[in-house]
Amino acid sequence: MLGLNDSQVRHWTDAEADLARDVAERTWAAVEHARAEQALRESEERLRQFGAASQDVLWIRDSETLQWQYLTPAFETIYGLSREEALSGNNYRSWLELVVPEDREKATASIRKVRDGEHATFEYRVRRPSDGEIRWLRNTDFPIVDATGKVTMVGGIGQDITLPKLAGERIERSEERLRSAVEVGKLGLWDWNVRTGEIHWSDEHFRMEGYAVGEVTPSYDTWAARIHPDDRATTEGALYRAMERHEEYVREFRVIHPDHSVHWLFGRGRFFYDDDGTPLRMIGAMTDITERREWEERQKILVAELQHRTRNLMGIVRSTADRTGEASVDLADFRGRFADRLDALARVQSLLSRLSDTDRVAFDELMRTELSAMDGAADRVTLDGPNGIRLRSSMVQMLAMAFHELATNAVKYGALSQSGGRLAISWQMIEPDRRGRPRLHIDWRESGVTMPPAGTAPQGGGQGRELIEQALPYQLDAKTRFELGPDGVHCTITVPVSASNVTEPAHV
Amino acid sequence: MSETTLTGRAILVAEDEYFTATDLRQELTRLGASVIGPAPSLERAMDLIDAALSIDAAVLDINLGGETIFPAAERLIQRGVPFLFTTGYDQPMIPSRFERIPRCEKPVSPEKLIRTLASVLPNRPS
Repeated sequence: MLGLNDSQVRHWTDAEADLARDVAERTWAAVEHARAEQALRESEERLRQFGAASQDVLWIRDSETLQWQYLTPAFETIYGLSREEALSGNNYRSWLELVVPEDREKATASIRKVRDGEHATFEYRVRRPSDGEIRWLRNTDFPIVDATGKVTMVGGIGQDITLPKLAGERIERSEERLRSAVEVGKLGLWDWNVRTGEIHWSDEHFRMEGYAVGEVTPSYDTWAARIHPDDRATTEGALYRAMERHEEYVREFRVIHPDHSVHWLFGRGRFFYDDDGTPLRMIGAMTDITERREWEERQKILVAELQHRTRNLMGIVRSTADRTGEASVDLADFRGRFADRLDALARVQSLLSRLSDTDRVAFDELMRTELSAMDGAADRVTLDGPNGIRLRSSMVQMLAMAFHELATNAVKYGALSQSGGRLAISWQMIEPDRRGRPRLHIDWRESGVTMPPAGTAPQGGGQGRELIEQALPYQLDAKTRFELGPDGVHCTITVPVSASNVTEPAHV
Repeated sequence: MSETTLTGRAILVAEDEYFTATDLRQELTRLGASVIGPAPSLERAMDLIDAALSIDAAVLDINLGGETIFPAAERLIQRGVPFLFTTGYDQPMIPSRFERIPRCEKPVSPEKLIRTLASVLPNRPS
């Protein structure tokens, strides 16, 4: 509103009124313009402050030349390059050169998309020229259009996502490491939400319990269902005890797979509680220790067997000493006989000590070991029988002692003491006894021996005869016969052997 | 221990090792006992128990050629016969009902065995 005023009362002509209206209109327009400029300045200033405060880079490019028209200071922080430098020359090209080569294609394709009127969001890396460091950016670019809808400018917001990106990569790498360790170490992991009953299992956990991965929904029950019935109560007991006492859960137990195979597992886990001590969660890991347990079992058996053999051997040495003492005429005689018998025992021990828990000494090995101890007799001895007839270790000692006595007598008084003497040893498997046990029949026949006249004192082998006629039947359930024939000793022994000898062994 | 404790007593011996069994038989015989057996197997021990009119006591090796002597021990308990066990290193678990039966660990000296045997024998009626 504009008013005109005069000191005297007067009448305004039309021309004067027109002039005044014109002046008023012009003045009004000037005021309007000034106000609009003021508003624009304020708006631009607000925008500038927004831009200056933003940690994201805000920018606008001309859609034709792609030259930057607007670029906020965050650019300098992220790119490590001053805006003056960034804006100089063909700044689209120089920006593109900051982008790492692998991501350039993606960056130009996105800009192209926006020039065509679309929005584009993409992630890319730049290498800071100041320190060579790599920065990850996520750009949200958008077209700015004029009234006719033509894209005149390209706007963008670039966010520095380096930190979250690196954190994400670290987590990914860490998870990958954990996954590899779990797989390589064959760990069965579990994570049990005690309140909801939900459980997460690693793949190996499924396999350890005989499930295909994902075959069942992991639960307490699917875990417990696979535990060996003999171990279930104690294993579950150990779990609840650990939960109640806030202790670590440590347990070895067996599981049975659907194929009926039994596996030993070693589980170790820890509960987590709320402030009231209510269990919330349990995390743990299992390993398959079947091999170790089997090894331990084997070791235990071997140690027990060794202990048994040692004690047994002490008993045999003692009774050998007693009996040798009874039969000896003097100490020198005793020494010779006793040393000889100890040597025979030592040979048996070395045969037995070669064996693992599943091996057996074969009869032919036993025979050859004993005969090899008699020098120079080989040409007068014939062996005839199959190889590989297995003997229980409890039998080996007794049989070896018996054959040692026979051989010693043969060397001293029999077939191996005279030039015309012959010794034929033959053996074979014969039909099982009435209890179905396979039997080994051994025939020891000396010939060509000039026997002492009847009625003279029996030669030497009192202990040999006792072993054959008494000890073998008693201890090995053997049937034996010992005869002094007209031209030498004839001895037969029939003894039950390992049931593993049911298939016919190969002949010599 | 006196030698007379065993004089005239009938002692069953179950032992699968020939020399141990023979030594034990000789020792018991020397002390005036009469030996039933020795039995090298459970089957033989059972037969001897069933056939014997009177047994005063028994010496039982727990492991006879891989079998346990426990069925024979049960039968002796039924007959009211006192006995002791001899055990090797690798003996099976002894059932709880036999926990109170005296045990001698092998190798057993004859003195120790005779002493233990005398302790399980009831006093002779005077």
